[in-house]
Amino acid sequence: MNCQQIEALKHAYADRELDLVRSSEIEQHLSDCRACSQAYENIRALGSTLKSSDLYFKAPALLKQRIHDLLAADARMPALAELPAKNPPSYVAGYNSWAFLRNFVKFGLPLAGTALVAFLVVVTLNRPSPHERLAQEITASHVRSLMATHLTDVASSDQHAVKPWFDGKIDFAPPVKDLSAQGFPLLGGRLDYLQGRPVAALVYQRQKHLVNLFIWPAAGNSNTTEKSTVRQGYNLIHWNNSGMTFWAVSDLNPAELQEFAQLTK
Amino acid sequence: MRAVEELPVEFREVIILRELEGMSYKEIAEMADLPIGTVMSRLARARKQLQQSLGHRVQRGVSK
Repeated sequence: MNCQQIEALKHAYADRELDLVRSSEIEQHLSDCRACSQAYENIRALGSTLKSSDLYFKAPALLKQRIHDLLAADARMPALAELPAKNPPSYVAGYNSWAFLRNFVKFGLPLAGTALVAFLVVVTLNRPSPHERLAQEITASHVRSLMATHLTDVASSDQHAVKPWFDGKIDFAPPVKDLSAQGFPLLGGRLDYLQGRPVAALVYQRQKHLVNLFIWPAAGNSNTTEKSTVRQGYNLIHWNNSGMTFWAVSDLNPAELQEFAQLTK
Repeated sequence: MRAVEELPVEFREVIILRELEGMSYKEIAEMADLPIGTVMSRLARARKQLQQSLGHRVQRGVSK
């Protein structure tokens, strides 16, 4: 960049209106060229002089009140605007339906726009987070697996039978551990479908309680600590480990489910 | 500030919206119903004029 180009762009640069590439080109030039960097400093100095001057003051409350009164008066105008257009009474002179329309465009539309934006913000804020929706989906899946006679596709307490069963059915190999010795016998495995993809579901038992452990490849490679939630009375624990994401769900109490989560790691 | 009051109103408008209200060029263009190019050229001329009338006071960041 040469000084002539800087001259044309220095204002936009000072106002941070340029893209990153141009900005860094100008920055480069300013560090080399005293004249241009002086011109740039002068723009900045002018800005701070204006800001520190007493030019800026809040509109007096009276002005605010007057504008509000005018708006309130406008709101009452529709009745007057419907009066016959011919020979309007003298007190509505200058206040015809055209003026009403103009005022509506001037004040009503921005107001309607603001209301729409507020509505969208509220809708967006109230929407459940992806994590919450997934917890809901997993709880539903758990409940469904208990309702129908379809708890397991492969019923076996042998981890060496359950793990190979998933081969060719899903595109990952879920870690399968038999935890019989620790009081969580493996009942089997099942294919399930969550978040638009097939996932592995391992079924464990603790006394009369059933635990569904959903496993699929995690988006990232980072390990995360367990996060517990409760949905419809079911306890859920979620964690990521060695590139897989895990969700354990059961009607088991939180402490024992936590113990289960530790054991599967 | 006298120097600002002496500016023609179309220059005063853009400089106040930019420096005091902190609006972007696009926002100023929409509010004042001007093309962005006009906003930029008015801003440049407003600053030039202000720098001339304020003279040494704004050089090297010395305010007032």
